[in-house]
Amino acid sequence: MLAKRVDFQVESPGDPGARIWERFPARKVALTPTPVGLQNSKYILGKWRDGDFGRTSAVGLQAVHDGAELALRLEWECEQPVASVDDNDQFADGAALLFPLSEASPLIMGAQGAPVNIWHWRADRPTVAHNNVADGIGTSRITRSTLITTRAAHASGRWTLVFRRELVAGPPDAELAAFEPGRTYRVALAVWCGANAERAGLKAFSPEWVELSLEA
Amino acid sequence: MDDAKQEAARIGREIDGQIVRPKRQLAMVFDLNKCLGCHTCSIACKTQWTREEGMEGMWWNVVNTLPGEGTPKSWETMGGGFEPDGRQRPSRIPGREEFGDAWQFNQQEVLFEGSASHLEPKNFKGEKPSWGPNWDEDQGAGEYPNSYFFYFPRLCNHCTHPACLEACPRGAIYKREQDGIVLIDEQKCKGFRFCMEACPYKRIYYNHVKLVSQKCIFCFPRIDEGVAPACARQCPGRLRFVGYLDDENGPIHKLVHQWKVALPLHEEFGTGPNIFYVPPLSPPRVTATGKPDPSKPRIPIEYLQSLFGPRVEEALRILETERAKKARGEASELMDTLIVYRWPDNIFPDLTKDPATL
Repeated sequence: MLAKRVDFQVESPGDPGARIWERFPARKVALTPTPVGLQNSKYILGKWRDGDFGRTSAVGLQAVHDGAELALRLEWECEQPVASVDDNDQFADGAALLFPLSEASPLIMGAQGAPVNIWHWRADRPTVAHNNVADGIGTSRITRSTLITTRAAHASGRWTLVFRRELVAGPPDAELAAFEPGRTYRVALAVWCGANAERAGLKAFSPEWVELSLEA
Repeated sequence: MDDAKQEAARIGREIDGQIVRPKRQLAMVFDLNKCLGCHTCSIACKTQWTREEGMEGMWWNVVNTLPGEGTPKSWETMGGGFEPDGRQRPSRIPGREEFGDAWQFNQQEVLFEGSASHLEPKNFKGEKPSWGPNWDEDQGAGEYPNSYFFYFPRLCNHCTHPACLEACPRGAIYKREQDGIVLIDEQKCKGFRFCMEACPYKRIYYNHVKLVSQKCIFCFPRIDEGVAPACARQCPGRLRFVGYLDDENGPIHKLVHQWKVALPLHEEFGTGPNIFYVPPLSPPRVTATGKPDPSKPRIPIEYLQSLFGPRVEEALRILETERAKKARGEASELMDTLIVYRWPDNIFPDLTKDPATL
């Protein structure tokens, strides 16, 4: 899909309900539950062996940039939103974008020597996504906290969410995806349904990379 | 049969195809016949470890009254741990109201504004609490004159086969090689709370401020300095023995392995707990005509078996026999061990250092 180049001074993309998002069609990205066999905990394998999780079937994905900043908008169905965690058995809704940090980085949480960069939003901390690096299942760690701003809304049984980040958010290193107009990148998505106690590997994810080209 | 195989036989399964055991295992033995329910242990722990924001409702150590529903409410019926064939038993996460949480009181209204006349507790939802961290204290069971109860300290069992450790998808929980203490690495923990589900003893709390799971740490920074855990050192009843299970001269080995009077709680949960209990003796039941009936103990043996398994009857018999010996003026190594003539040397021989001297 193409991230069109637009002037954010004229049209701000920060609000998921902003008019700019009506101008570009959303790419429907199919999601599937993470394979039960990949859950790296015997407890999870046992309790969720029937695979009753990750039922969010698709995310609508849009993207724009202005040469300095990238904005991605996600939209998905969620009948019972959970945006705050007051009790021990509550889990907030979540969504994440995953970018490979090397050519060989596997889509499922990266691998040793082939890490991935994950932008993780959760409804109970709605304005900032956590920047994570992972090099295998169960290894994600937060590396920087305020690089990625988010804004989300829930209405009519759907979440809409915008991630915003500078194309180059820091000195080049092994922990941050970096973007350049005119080039093509790969991204994967994941969605957690809090009402179904989804967290960690219990989620819906896009099993194939989505190509993301930034208009020159 | 080597040790690993014996252990496998004892807990009924292997871990990832092999028994992973620490070099040594620290353990505690509680002599329930000495517990007076004063909660000094709980307060010592609270004062030392759980005073920060987000920890208000945490009682890593709690003293419940048995029979009772305990903390969290009805924890024994929630599942967790392992089936005899080694499969993890599904469970659920206890809620804050079930743990009892920390209540808020309307001090402002009563003491300063005069708009209310009585202090009233509110739970985290702002409602009247329906349970507390020790709600059924001193309630017990039975009918007068045969009513009964006993106090029961509970904390993380630092299990040989921790269900929490195996449940964590992040490898955030580990068992120290030098002493078997089970710890949660808060840098790795992302607050997913699978550990709270899997633990059959329900001794793990969730910190809603730090967004991590937290539990008893066996006072490992004190252990590393040769100081006994705060709950044990502060115990006025001097009923909390601490030491290494393999120290044949220490009280733990004597009580657990030699005399076999200290038993694990709910061994059938399959995790190999390392907290052991000397079961409570009780006076005889009283008949309808008011006469003692020495054939029946006040605390029904079936109830004690439901907690400590079939070996409890034998443990009580040994305790009674040795107590009778001591009463006759004869020697009893078991009674001398339980009496703790010299504190702290006889109760936690490897951890006698006074923390005030550090």
